[in-house]
Amino acid sequence: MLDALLTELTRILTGLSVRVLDPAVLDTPSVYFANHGSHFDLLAVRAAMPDSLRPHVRPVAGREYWQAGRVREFLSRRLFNAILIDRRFSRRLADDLRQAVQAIHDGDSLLVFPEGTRGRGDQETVGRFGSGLFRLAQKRPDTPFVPIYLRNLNRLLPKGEIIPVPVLCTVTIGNALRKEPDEPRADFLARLRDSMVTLMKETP
Amino acid sequence: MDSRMIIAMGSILGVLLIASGITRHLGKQARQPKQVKFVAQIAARVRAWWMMCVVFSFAILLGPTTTIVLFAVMSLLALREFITLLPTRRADHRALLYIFFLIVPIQYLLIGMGWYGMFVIFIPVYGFWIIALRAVLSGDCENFLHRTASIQWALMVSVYCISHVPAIIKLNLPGFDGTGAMLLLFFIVVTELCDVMQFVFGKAFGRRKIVPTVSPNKTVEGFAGGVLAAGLIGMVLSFLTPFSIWAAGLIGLTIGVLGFAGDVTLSAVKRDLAVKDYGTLLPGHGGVLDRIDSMCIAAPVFLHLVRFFYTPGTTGF
Repeated sequence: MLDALLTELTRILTGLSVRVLDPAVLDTPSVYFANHGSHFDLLAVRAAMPDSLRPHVRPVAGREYWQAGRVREFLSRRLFNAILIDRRFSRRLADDLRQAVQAIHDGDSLLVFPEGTRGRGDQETVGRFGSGLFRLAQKRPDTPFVPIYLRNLNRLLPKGEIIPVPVLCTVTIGNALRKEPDEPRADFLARLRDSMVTLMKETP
Repeated sequence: MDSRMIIAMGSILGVLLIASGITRHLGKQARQPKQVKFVAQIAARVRAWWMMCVVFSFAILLGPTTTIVLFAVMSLLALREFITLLPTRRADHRALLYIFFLIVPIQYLLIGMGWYGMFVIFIPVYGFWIIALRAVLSGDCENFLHRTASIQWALMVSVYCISHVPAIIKLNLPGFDGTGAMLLLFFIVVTELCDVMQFVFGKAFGRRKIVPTVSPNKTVEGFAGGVLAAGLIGMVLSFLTPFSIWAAGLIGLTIGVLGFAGDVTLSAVKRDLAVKDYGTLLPGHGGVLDRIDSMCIAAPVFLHLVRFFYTPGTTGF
């Protein structure tokens, strides 16, 4: 119920406009990856998902942030159904990867923000992608990777601000990509990044 | 409730029902794709009017406060649509917050309070400087003039001009129960009907384009038809107003011309910003701003005309 309320509030505040290039992508468990510029990004992507799919799209988020405090802990665990990974210690990498792969195995989808920390600038660009997506693709090569482009959420609530300015926001969900056999990391990540840049240019 | 109001609203309901009926009939008859598209456009407009009619009727019936709040909400929606298109930067965030959460409420509160003097200068003087100064404090001078000026435009169009519509209800007309509710109904019906008639006449008789570089669909014939229709409708609805039939006709013509002016001005802005519609709130129609753009110049002028000629000696509304 809290979920429905948050979804509705997000839609009203952002006048959310959702474009899905290929509705069939929503039928398969996928790894969704989106650009990151605002605290509202997660809420916007969730609000863009159909009601039936929303609980099964699990955001991959940093444990050190989401377990710092009761409200965040509640939100990440109960509301968002997040997979928490440890960004500080690379020793935990294997565990984190296993969690993520297990989720896909169980039929859930993942939501990843591969740009890492949110950008500060006023320009609209897509940052460099971290390598997590590649490692996931290596473990489960036939997983579809679906780009999501979020527009204007960084204007709604820029980094460092608390009160949002109502601005019309758009979520564009693109076509799925899969890793080619023997595709090197740089090429794969570049291809993923390019697909997001294409979405960015196509979003009206 | 005043019997004149009942007659007017009943007539509007009747017209809407006829319009819906005609649209449905046309829909069944349409064969070629061009006809089907035309009917679809008309149907979308009729649906939008039903919605507007219901909303406005409720507001007008429930009284001045509801009407003022309704238009405050519309201002916020229109403002959001406009701001979205502007090249605002991070530095403008706080100034924009001031607009949405301070300036809009204050402007509409001023209407409720009946403080006319402050109502007319608050945004052009104080709003203008508050926004500019808050942006200055953020220290970002890149594109400063463009950002500040375009934000002021958004404020003037979406808030200042639109707020003159519910202000009509505060006019203290002698012999009208002290309320301008019927006058508000008059204004809205004339404006919207003029809009429709421009579209219909344009499709039926349109030949010479009037401002092709701004709005390719507008024609001299459409403009003339719309303005004349506004004059006629003004005369028909003069019973809702303190105007004589001829004065009402003249005022109707004026509203028609100014409605066109507001419409093309906002079209020029859209052209510059390379967008087709301001938003997607109304399916098939665009956003709130696309619907109320014809009221932007018409409302303030209408308010001033009525106030000057028909409410002698007033210092309030």
